[in-house]
Amino acid sequence: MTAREYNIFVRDYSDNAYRFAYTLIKQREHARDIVQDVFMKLWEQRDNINKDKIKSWIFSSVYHKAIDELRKKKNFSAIENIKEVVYNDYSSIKEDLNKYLDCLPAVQKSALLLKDQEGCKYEEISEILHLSMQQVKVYIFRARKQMQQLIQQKDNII
Amino acid sequence: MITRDNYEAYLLDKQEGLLSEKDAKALERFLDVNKDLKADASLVFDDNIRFGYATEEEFSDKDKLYKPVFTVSKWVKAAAIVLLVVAASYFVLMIWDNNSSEPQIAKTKTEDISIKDQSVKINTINDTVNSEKETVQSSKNTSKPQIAQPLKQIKSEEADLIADNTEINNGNEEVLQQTESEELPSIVVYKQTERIRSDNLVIYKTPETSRLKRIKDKVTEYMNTIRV
Repeated sequence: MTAREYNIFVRDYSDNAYRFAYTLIKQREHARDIVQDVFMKLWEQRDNINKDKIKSWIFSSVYHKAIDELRKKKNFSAIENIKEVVYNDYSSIKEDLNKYLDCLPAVQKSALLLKDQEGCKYEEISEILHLSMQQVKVYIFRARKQMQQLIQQKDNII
Repeated sequence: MITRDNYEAYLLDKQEGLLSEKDAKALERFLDVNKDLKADASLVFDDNIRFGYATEEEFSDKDKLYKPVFTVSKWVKAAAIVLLVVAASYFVLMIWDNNSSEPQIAKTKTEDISIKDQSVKINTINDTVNSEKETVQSSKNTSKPQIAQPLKQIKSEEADLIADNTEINNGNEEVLQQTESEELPSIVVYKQTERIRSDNLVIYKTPETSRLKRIKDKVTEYMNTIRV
């Protein structure tokens, strides 16, 4: 990988890598540090990384660093548990989606974001999250089902 | 195998049109058995609803990540190539010139050796002349005083080192004559050195060898005459 190619990857992926990290850990400084570390590591290992899988490599690194950060802070609920969603009747669908997303465990949240925001294929998501493809699909189906139910509830209220 | 833990994956594939015929039949059989899950099969997700990131901020430290890229314009590349070619040509010519030029050091050494040989030979002749002079001197003291005149000429010859045109007049008195104009000092002899070049071998053919031999022969002949 040349410096020019590396710079293109920085330009194309650093913003979304930062947003992804921030959505998982909700701390700007830590999210920045994670992205910085990931790209420094990418440059160090530029000759050992398959260019076709750079995006998967970047998001996988960000995801695992974010999980490590949550573990350091002993925020295990963010990693494993589904929180109870408190809906506000007057909030927008987008706000409700974000609330719901925050209540999901990190792995499910990541699967949804990678699918909806990064347009990753299931195979790529399974590589990034180190899950089976079937598991990824199960997480995404369940999240969408919950979302569908949420929207129907709001429609019924209105 | 479809189970209650993974049936959602098959339902998702079905919604996205990715389910194979074989899997579709297997899913149908599974839902027939697990009727409580049939409601999930009727769900149709709205493609417009997508989860988004919690922020729209850009990564502010992007500039710190960029690596410097050195771009070289076409003209700089062309100039570098021309410079390289010129340098290579100069180098090749320099090597070729060194190979084709005369081996100056070798020549000088040969000259030195030649001069040394010359001086050794001259010294040898001088020694011979000195010894002969002593012999003549001793014979002058005894029986032949008229030998004094040739001895002066021998001295003259000794001074010149090389007496190419000495003549020996063998009569009652030995007279040694010398032609002044035909003195042949060693340096002149050396200047006449002929260089023969053959490939990389330089041969120096010096005429003084034969001349010195002639001188030596003449002196020897002269001395023999004196002895007689």
